[in-house]
Amino acid sequence: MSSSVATARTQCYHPVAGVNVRTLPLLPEQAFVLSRVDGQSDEAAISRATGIPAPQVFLHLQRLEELGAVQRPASIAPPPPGKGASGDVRATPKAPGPVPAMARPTNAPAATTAPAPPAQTDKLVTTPAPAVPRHPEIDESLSLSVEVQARILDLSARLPDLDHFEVLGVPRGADRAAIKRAYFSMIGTFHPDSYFGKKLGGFTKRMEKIFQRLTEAHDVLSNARSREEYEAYLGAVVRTRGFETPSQPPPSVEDLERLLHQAESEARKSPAPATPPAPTPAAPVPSVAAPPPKVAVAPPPLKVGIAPAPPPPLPPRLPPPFPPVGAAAPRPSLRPVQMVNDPVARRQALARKFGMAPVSLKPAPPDEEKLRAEAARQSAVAKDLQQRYEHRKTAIRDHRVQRFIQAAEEGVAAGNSVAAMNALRVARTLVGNDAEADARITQLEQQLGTTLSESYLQRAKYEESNGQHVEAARSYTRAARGRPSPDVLRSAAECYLKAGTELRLAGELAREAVQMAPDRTDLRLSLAKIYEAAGMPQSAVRELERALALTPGSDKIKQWLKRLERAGV
Amino acid sequence: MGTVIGIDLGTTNSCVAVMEGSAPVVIPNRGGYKTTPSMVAVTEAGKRLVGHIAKRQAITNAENTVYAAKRLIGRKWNSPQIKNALLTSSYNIAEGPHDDVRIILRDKSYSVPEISSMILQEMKIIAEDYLGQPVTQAVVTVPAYFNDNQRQATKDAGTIAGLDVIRIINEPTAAALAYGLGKDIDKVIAVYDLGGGTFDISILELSSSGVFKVIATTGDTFLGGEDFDARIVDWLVHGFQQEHDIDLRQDRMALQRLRDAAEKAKCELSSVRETDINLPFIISTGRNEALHLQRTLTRETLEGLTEDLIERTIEICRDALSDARLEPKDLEDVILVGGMTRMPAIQKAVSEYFNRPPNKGVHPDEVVALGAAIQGHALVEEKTDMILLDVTPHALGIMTFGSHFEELIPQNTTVPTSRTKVFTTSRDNQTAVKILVMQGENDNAEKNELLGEFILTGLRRAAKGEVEIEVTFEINTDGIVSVFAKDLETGQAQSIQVTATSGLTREEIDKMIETAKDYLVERRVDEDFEAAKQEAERLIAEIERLFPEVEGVVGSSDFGRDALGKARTVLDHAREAIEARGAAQIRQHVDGLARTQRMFKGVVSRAQ
Repeated sequence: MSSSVATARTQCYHPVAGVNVRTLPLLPEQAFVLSRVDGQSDEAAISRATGIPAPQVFLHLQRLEELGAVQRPASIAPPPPGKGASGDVRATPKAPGPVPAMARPTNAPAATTAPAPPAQTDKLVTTPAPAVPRHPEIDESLSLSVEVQARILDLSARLPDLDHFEVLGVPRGADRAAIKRAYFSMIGTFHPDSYFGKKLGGFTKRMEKIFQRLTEAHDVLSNARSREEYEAYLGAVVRTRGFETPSQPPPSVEDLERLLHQAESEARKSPAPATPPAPTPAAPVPSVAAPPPKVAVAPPPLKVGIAPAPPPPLPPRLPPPFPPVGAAAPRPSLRPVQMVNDPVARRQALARKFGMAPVSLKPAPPDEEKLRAEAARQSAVAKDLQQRYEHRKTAIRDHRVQRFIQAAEEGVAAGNSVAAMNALRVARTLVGNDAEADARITQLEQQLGTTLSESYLQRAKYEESNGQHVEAARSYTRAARGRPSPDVLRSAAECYLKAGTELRLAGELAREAVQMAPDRTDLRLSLAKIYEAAGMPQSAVRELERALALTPGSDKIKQWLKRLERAGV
Repeated sequence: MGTVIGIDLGTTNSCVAVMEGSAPVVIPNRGGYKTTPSMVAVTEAGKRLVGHIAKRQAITNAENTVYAAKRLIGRKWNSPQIKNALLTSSYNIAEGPHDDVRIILRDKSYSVPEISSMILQEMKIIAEDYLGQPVTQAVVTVPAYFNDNQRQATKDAGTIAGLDVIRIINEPTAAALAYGLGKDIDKVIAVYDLGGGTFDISILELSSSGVFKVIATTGDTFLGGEDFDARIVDWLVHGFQQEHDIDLRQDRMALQRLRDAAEKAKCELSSVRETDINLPFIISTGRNEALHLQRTLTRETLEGLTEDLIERTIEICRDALSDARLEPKDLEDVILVGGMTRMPAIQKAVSEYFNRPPNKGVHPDEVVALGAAIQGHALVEEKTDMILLDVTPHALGIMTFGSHFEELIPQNTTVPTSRTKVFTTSRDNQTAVKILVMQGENDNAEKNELLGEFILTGLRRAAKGEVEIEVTFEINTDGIVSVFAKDLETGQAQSIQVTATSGLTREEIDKMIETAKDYLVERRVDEDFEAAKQEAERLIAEIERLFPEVEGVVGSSDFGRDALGKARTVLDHAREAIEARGAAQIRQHVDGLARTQRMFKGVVSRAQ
């Protein structure tokens, strides 16, 4: 079956195990698509499920694959030797969730005697996709080779997400000569003049778009000054990435519930119920954090669009629902995988562990005495179980809060503000009455705010100098949120004004700036300017009058007022 | 696959080239010259003359001889350039029906593209004669600083001449192609192109992979050799006025003679230090007294007269370099293009500014046509990997409230490209916006060139500034500008492909194509007639030469007299046919003439 999947026309993508999707620069739609990737739905199915047109889905999938979030079977494995393959097949239907065997290399070996050693699995998972997918828009009637068409389609789909280096296919540190070489050689493929007089259909437009982008990348990177600015900007984007897209809301309560639930089910399955409760947090941590990310948990059937997966430092710390390949070896017979998903079997297994007879399967014995004793024992056991469970839940939560705080600290130390901020957010929602942790979180938040606002400021300046006024306005706003400053607020407002959009927002920002420093004439003039542009001359006049009170005798303000009066205000 | 020719349609001279194997060659005209004067004339008999033949009769037919039509092409009647041309042209310029310019030759009005098409047609014929096969495709060059209207007008001229202009390219860029072809180098170069009517400077990057990328280009479409000539003419006119108190400008023929002499003197001063300008009988006074003009012009005087023009070109070079974010020292070569660059003062100024001697490896008059031929070949030939990346010489944008010009695509943007900007309404309850597509660098939109306009309607009634309209400009690989406007609220959209206006409508162009074809037929008939006539006249002359001798031999017999009488009839008929200007009729008689001539020859030889 796996071989037939590999050669099938419509290929189903699998989510890649161990990828922290939150760190990926995804668009909301892409995240939505990713949430529907399960290894069994093809493009059409995903399209139906999401309501996004199939070509669009295709592009998103390509992008996701590019980012390493999903992969196609072709890229996963050449079909394993006959026996192994059939073993997989048998194991698959019983695997929990829709994730098929191949995407869960940690799972299959435990269930069967599949020969795939961990090393091989690892290698196969990371193999990049070599095959060129057959795109629906490829048109053989055009006088453009199918390969070139595929390259054009592929690149045009990825354009919005690539930075200037990626577009040209050069490493970050590439020197000027390498950039020029890359640019000039790509021109040969992507300039419509290379195919002058040929039938190109819609590809001319695509090529022109690609060409424009290549040229922009080349022009920016081949000039020392603009390159320096751009690199600083890229740095700022990386530092601040993850905060801006509304597609990545802060972890919601549902999200946490889900995480907790997962943790609980772990606790319930814990193979050591007899040990005293309140396990030392240190104990499970090393073994859980140890597995290399590649063989770590396959992300639970992804619902990224709604609830993003945890930030980078997190996944290794989540106990995997199934032991990793290496760790699974000692006890495959104890907990065969088939049973895990079967509630009855699981209950029986749990009961066996507590020394109980399987309750639901055997009818109760007729003996009254025995029956009562059994019931008392049962309720005692249940109570005990409940207590331990509660205790463990709290312990896990506390432990997790500490973990998140630690992750945030690490993030701050490593300059990874995004990860730090995300970790803090989670910690903030988890933290209960622990005042100490609370204080620590608050402190870290302030520290981060300052760092981030620096980055945003830098980014905003670059965007402004590049004429991206709306983007600059947003970055300025974020910078001001991190570290309030009337000047930054004013810059944000004026960028909106320059962009000619969001004038209401601009007004609010400018007003906020004025409130912060009511004695500054320049801020009031800014606000007046925005009022005027927004078609609120009366407010502009009021603001100008206040400004005039601050700076009596300013000709500029007087003239301005006169002009407004003449306009009939 | 037909051959693509490259045509350098110059202000004063034009040149045509074609690829032969891997190298481009310039095609000489019938007179053996590699360039053809861009002049068109109509004789008293209504006959059209193009090239050298038009130039030769320019003095005696100044009013009906058009020169430097390129300075008028694609311009509006109300533009200052046309006002200026009205003052200095020896031919008549009139207002056309679409705010365009018409030229009146012998009571017939011609559009400027039509005049240019006559030159292009001549170049096409030169190439066809040389290649021995019809030519339909061409790459035509224009000054880099031409705006879209001027480019479109040039393209229309090609269409009228029966040419499919597959690409319009910039002259300095073409020169760089010819310079860089087969050199396999990575270099940043400057092309300084001072032609008859325009000045261009382009900075290009040449890559060994065959890509020619223009980094920046700028120029002046009213600065060229003609302006240098005009300075000399001014100097001559002024001197003459002081001496005789007569304004030579009032006399068209005198003005044309002055212009010719000035151009000649200017060219001579590139190799000698001084030259005499000698124009006898330049004008007659009111008392019918002939006056002569005789002056000596030295190189120093000329340089003094034109110093500011040269300085202006260097200033423009400075602009181009700053646009390209480069310093003179970053350039690895400087190419000189255009006849004017032979002037020593220009070579000196260029060497000084760029701090290096200019390249002497290219022929300033031919290199542009060669480059055009190379580009034509590169486009249609699959094997070549040469790609030319040019830039927009002018900014593109729209006119906003208060005649303000809002730029979307800046000057020197590599094409193809596209840009988008969001605009809002400027009045309360505005339900429609007019998008005026403009080209130029002036903040005041009125001073820029209008390329086209359209209206986006159905906007929501709202306070001003509330409705947002997204405007997108796009320039494709062929240089065609498209503009899209979209109401962001309703998604309602409008777009136009800006077909820049050459001042001619489609119908007019179609009519002109027909006229041009008629001309070709007429011309062929003419040539046919001329050939037949020459043959017949040669025979007639021969027969008449032999007549007395033959008469002496056979005139004594009745048979002889009879034969002589018949011979006379043959001659008379042939002469009548020539008189009637019918090539076919003449041919009918050529046979008889030839037989008669043979008989006469036989009689004479036997008699000896």
